[in-house]
Amino acid sequence: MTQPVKFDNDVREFLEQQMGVIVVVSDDPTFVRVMRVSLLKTLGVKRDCVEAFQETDLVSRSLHIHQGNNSPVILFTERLLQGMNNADFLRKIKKEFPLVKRVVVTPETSQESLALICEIGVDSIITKPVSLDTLIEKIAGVIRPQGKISEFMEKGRGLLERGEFEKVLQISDLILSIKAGSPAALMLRGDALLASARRDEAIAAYEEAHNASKLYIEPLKKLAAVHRDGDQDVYLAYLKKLDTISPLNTARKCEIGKIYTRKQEIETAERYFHEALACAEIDAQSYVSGIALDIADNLSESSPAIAEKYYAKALETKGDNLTSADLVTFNRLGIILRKQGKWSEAVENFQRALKVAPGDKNVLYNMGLAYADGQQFKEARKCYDSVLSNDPNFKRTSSMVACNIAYTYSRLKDLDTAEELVNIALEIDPEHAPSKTLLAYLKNAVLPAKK
Amino acid sequence: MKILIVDDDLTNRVLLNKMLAGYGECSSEEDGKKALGSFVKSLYDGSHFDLILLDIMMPNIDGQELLKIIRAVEDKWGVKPGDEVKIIMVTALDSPKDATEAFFKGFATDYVVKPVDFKVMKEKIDSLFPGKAI
Repeated sequence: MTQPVKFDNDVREFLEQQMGVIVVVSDDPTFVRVMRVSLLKTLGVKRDCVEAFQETDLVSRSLHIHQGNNSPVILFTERLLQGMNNADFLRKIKKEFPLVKRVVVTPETSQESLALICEIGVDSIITKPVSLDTLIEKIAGVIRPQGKISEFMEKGRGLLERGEFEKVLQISDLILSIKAGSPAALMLRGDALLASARRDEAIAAYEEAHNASKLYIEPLKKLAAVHRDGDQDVYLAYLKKLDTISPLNTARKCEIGKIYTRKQEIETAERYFHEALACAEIDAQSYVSGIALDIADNLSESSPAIAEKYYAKALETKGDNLTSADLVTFNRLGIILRKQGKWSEAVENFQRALKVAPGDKNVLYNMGLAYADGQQFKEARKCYDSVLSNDPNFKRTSSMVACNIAYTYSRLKDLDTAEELVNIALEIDPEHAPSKTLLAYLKNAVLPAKK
Repeated sequence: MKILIVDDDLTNRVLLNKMLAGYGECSSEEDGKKALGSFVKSLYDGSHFDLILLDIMMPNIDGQELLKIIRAVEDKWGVKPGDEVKIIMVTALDSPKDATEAFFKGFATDYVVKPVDFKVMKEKIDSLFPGKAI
């Protein structure tokens, strides 16, 4: 098999030759651990290139130091930190450290939540859970050499910051000659024209960018901004377009409501205020749920019974707003229930999780384990079969996964499948003790049958 | 040119990345769900992909499903005919039917069979993007 060395080499070069630094702002110890293992153990990078923070307070200070040392930085941060929306922190970093690459880590994948993240302006988005290989691949993606257009765009933005607007116009023309109708180049052009007090031409460029790419958020934001103090109907129309594309922005919904109030269209205004409150409520639920989750995580080893209460609280707080982002909590609650021998409650918990994310392989696998705890091996097998039919490679996730599935097959006397699985477990980790024991049992069990 | 490679096999992603690096910026995703996220982000950012290489057999959302979703998103947001992202389906030798079906239904732009031959891939890309040949 060809070794996937390309990504590894790119990342190693960034960290060792360019003295790059990875700054992680996360309250998720698993993600921080995966990051450290990926870079320090898997890639074998010798220097301490990962800095981890649980809160945002000290991050700016650290970035200033790296900036002073000319070390390129990639910042990884959670979208929600301790349950709180992290958008303000990201905006601040973008403004203060434009050269820092920003990667947002999120368990959510809905179009609405992606739109909200893109509104802030980030270089990449990583969806959790993330494997070691994927993390290295993503870092390689962020630091990869840019294409010509991206290089010109970056140069253009630099010139814009320095106020060299005529040169920006030349660069945007150059990009447009390479890629006709490039929305990003039209945006750059609009920004240079606006800064040169050529408002009407700027509006035309933004409109052209919007027409070339209807989902592109930036031109709409600019068009709304340039009309804010002018024609309120035009301003409102752009805000509503933005709201259609990115409907989770609470502040914008409030602004739309206020405009309708000024227009004496109270019923419509109230509809937007209502939606704004619903968005704010989701944020508040996230915050409370985040705190409950943090408490539960800290108690899961020492006091599983109390941890169970807080995991349940974290889910209950979300009410009807549970999403696939909450699967981690469902899985942790299920594991805590199993630890206490409450296998049937664990199964119920996973069944609830499957209503939120039908067919999720991790939930199904954990549900299989819960059934196996309760000696319900036929049910356990159904769960595993469902996982493996969707993702045949799931059995190779780890030696423990393969061994656990093998155990259920062995109890159902499907010895061949069990042996196949336990051999996979031992391929992954030849010293895996539970697999060795199970294999020995299988050998003994198979022999009499063959006589 | 901006290219998105979608394949659940890391080795395939690395090989395709190496193969296509000369055409421009390549990025990759390991499953359909994450690829959809990347595709949508590119639309929000105004940095559209020119080409997507799409494996068919993948966990979460498979290639066929993702293809339909991408075309539905383009349709919903009024992407003009001819401006849609070009999508080449990548299929295993034993299941080319899936790719040809997608191709003939008009969703996919073209298809290639695994193991991907660089010459074949190059010919297809060069015919889709004249003037961008490497």
